[in-house]
Amino acid sequence: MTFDSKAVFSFLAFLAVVLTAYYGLRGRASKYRMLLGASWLFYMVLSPSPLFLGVILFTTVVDYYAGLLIEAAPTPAAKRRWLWVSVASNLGFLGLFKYLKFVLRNVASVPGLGWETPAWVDHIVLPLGISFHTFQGISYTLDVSRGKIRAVRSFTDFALFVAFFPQLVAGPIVRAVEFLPQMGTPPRATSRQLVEGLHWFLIGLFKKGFLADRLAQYVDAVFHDPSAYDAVSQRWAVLAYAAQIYCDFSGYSDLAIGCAKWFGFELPRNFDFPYLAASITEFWKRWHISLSTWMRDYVYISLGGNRRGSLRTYFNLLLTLTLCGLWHGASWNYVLWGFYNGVLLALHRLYDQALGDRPWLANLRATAAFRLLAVLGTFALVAVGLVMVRAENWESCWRIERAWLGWDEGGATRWVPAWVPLLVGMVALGHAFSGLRERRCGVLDLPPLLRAAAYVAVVVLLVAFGPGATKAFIYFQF
Amino acid sequence: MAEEAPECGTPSGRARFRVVLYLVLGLAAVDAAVAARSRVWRAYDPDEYREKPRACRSRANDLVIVGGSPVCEGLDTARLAGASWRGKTLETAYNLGLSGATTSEVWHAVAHGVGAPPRLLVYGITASDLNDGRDEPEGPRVLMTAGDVAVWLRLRPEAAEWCLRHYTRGRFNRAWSLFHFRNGIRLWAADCVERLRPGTCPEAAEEAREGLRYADALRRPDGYAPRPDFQAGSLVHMRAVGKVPERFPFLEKYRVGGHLRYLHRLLDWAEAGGVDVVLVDMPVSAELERRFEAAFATYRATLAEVERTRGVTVLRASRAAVGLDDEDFADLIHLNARGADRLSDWVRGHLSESREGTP
Repeated sequence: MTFDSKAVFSFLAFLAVVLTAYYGLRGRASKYRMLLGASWLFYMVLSPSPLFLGVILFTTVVDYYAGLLIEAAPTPAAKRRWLWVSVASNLGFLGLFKYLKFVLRNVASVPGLGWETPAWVDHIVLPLGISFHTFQGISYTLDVSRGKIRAVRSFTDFALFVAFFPQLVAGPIVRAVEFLPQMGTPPRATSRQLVEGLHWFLIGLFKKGFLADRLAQYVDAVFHDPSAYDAVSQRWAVLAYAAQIYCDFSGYSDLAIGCAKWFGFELPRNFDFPYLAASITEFWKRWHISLSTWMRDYVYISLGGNRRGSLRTYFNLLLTLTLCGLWHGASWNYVLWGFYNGVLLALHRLYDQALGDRPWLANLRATAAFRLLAVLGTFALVAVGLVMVRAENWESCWRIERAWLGWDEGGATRWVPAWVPLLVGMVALGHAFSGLRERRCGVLDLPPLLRAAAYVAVVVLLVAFGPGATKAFIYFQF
Repeated sequence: MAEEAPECGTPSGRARFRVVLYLVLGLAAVDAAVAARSRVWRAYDPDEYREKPRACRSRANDLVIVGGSPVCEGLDTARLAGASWRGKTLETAYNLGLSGATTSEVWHAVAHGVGAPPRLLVYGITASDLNDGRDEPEGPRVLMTAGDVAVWLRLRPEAAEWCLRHYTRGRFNRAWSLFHFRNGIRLWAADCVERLRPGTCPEAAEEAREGLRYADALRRPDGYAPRPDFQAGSLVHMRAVGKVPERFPFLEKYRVGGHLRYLHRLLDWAEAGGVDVVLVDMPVSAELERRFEAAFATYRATLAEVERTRGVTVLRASRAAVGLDDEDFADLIHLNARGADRLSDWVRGHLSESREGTP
């Protein structure tokens, strides 16, 4: 799916129809049935094939009954059995559609094995949003088995929790404990939600349709052939990619949060000005929060967390982050990116444990200068990881990493259009304006006239200066 | 869901909606400002579907030339004006060719862009004009009125939804000036920024200058505004650098029927208004004919049928007849400057051969 004016207008028309029906219908059941039908329709239209609705239907049915059976199970062993049915069905589909091709190709590439990847493997297409809805299903059955939440009696309620269209294709990964309690009576949007919904919708469109897609034009060119550009251009491309991926993904989350507010639902915050993080540990508390907390609660803690000694803790960190990398994409660069982040987290933990309780360090950490250096250092390390994800091959990756870390091989063209620093600067300013204050979007606190002027500027920039044909959301591919 | 914030109707609730009110008023003000400077945006991003019919209608022409992009590039009005038709000189001529037009667009351009009936209407037609496998959105978006849409629904029910969608989209675009002129605004801004700080956005500024040049060309009184890259292009060079496209979608899924009805409408209109019509079967490259042999066979059989049943004059401007080779083509279907000169002279010669009372 491309994110162009046609897509935006089609989505707005769809949204208008669904909102009208939602507020026009009477009775809980009819409202939720309509919303569920609209969500499934939305999924079918956006999917590479409408048949993929079968995948989400199957996992929904399995998770729904698994939840009921887990709750009714008389023994822990029986609970575990039904839990594994749910986890296996979700991970089975995820493995089949997302990782089978990767695994078979790697097996085929083992020298001396004499085995070739079957041709049908090339025809495997990833169902839209599978990484998100399967994780929602797993979190639900795990929460039921841990007694954190009661199993849902109504299939419609459960299916709507899984398929609620604003967050269906690219998150945030909503937990049952966050969403299901809101469904008791069909919520009506308050005045605050209506206006804040508009705010997040416009901000999300601006981030994705203007900032991310404009920056993509520069990033694509430089990353496609870094040898054609000098080190300065490559460094700007790294900065631009950091801004692009943040605006792309957080833009989608903002759109989802905004749309959900118009229905009266609150979705969890997914980004918290991540590039203001002063350590890698803090970064992962601010970046894709719904995934990082999911990995923490359901993988890291399930592996034992930090309860089984230092060595096991470091191993758990490395494994959790490597799996987190693999969740993003079935390729070695994502695995490396996850492992790299795991190493950084482990090193930070080591450093924290070795020096964390020294008073002089606490005093130093409290200074603005230290904080600034820590933020810049963290960003530099995060960017090293982002290059691994974005580079088109290992040679390009190595070349851009060297440029980012200060090597200058010279000789090639310098190409840094003025709008690149301008847009990167806008993202940095957005972080400073909002993130440094109360970690909430500063536009929300402006007087009404200024706030409306900011929205008008957003619409003008988006309409007149957004790229003509924009790109698909980066996170749709996960 | 529980919400602690004050509700609609309370002072704070009303204050929140003030933001929405200011936003709507702000957008309306911006739109009015954009609409007031529409000439500026149009100068940077001219729309030939709007400009050409408007310019053609503004004066009486002895000769009007219509067709798709092969006509825009290949029939030079300056060379055709002054030709004689049935013994009388055609003093004024206008090239109403529209890029991407099918026969349906040609009909709507004639219906809305030709005021006083000309003495002669030359339609440079080619196979892609009649291909029902293609529908071009500019017709419904720019040229068609509600009445035209109603006729379309009757004549081409298979493309009714498509037509309605693009017609509605065109109306919507025009109702929201900011959206309608977005490309012109972008190019104007790029041009301004580039003047202030050269090197800031050179590609967009070049596009802006190209837009200004094309707008100037469209203001020519004879409507002939060939694209510079077509004028200087060569199919031979394209082939040498491997730039000949593998696909030519304008002739894919070839079938004839819907657009043909509009050719008959055009001929009916001409008959009713006493306008002579000459169809010029436009030359195309040998490679294109080879690739779409069946499509061209269907097209030529259709053209022969129209010639026979409607008694219309058809000039078959084949490559051999005109004396064209690959050096005269800018690409697979468009003529370059040399090819356009040759074809225009050839058409002029054949028009002048006509005598009073005979086609």
